[in-house]
Amino acid sequence: MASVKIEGLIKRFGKTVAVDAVSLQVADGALATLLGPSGCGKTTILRCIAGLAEPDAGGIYFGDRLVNDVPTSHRRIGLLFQRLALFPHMRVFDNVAFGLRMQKRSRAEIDERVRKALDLVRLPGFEQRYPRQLSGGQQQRVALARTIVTEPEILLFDEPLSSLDAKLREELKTEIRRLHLETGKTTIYVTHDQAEAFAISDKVYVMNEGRVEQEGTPLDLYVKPASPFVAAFIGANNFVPGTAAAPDPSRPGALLVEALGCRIRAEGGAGLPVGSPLVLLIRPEDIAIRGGGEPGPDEAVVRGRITGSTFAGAHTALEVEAAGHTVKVSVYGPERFALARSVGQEVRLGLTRSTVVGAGAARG
Amino acid sequence: MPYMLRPVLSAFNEMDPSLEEAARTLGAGRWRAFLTVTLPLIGPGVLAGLLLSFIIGFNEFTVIIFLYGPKNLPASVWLWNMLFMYGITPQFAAAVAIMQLLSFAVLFVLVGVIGRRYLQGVVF
Repeated sequence: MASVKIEGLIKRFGKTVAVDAVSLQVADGALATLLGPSGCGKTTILRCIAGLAEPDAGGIYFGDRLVNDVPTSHRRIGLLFQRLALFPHMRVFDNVAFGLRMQKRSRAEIDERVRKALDLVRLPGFEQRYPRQLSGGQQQRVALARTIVTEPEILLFDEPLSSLDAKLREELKTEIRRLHLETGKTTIYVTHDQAEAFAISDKVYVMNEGRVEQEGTPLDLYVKPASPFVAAFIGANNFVPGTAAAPDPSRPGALLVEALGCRIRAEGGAGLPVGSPLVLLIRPEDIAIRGGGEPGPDEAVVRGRITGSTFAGAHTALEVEAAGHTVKVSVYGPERFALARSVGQEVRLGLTRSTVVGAGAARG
Repeated sequence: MPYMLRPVLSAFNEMDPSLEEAARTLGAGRWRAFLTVTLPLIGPGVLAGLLLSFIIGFNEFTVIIFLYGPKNLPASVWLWNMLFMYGITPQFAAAVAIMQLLSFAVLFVLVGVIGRRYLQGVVF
């Protein structure tokens, strides 16, 4: 068992800086995710941890041990590749047994542990197949079995689910979470899929252009995004320009913000002087379509007109023109059916929460 | 040499580099990873190269006849000389037949190995 610590990691490819002074710390037995768009350096970090890429500067520690000069084969890691990298010329059994053979285990032990690993990924009886004879999901499970059978101290996942269809992805996501809970190994998971990161992680690092933009639990990132980039990367969003209007009398330190022609309760933005411009994040799922009647005590009501409507089953996605802005609204309640074809209708939007994600003029 | 190089290079290009990396994360050193993963996978390329070189070497009679020296006399040239010295004798006919069979045998073995070990088991 080991924690993973990275200090000031820098990796350049030619002139481009792929990883720019990243530090992170994953506690023993935790599951951390590096989340970011493609090309943000997350895979490069993983390759440095695995020893497949050499950092230009910075230290990588497993526990207290500096491992920069330890070759990949001696780092006791398991890496699940994006393209799986099953050995095509070996049967499933030999694929899974490969790592154990490298450790020169006895035949009986290899047989036993390969069988157990295939049981664990729910693929018993597939030992004699070749990888090409398996479906995508089955290949995924074999790769997973091969990764965990040697009982590595640290597990690394490089977008292992990106090549699978939505349903399989859902299934294997749960599988990976279950495996992590059962084995309790320190795990670092790389993905560009926010939902995937949230579903499995204890802690998420949001990355952009080689840097960590924000780290925190999924809840932290959702409720208190530190920058418009993080907010935009996590879930669907409305960014609207506003001005700090007044301190909120009912919540010390919090603000009321003037935006969309009304005063809205906002999280964050503490310390902004009254009257300064800011960018306000309002989640589409935090906007209610309301009937008539008086607004609630903390509710701001905006009149608008529906300009777009898409029924997506579990929710209806609306576009509402309000106070000169187009606002996205997600409706999850029973009224989603009535709103499925509602373009042109006048509505009242109930706003109860929003988040200040940046000072200065709006970015659109 | 180029006949050898081309098939081997293309075999290398077609191989996913993460296969060798996977072997290394599983505890194989660079050399072990090459022997157990890379070599078997580029095997067909290497064999194809060998086969091409062999065929071409076997056919290069005109070049050989200009280049051979007394110390390394190729079988084909030796036969050629025999023909001029003794005419067509039964021994000569037998030697030619053996050379034919030999070249066929090499071909069959190589094709057999490629076909059986690789073409059916591997996806490229």
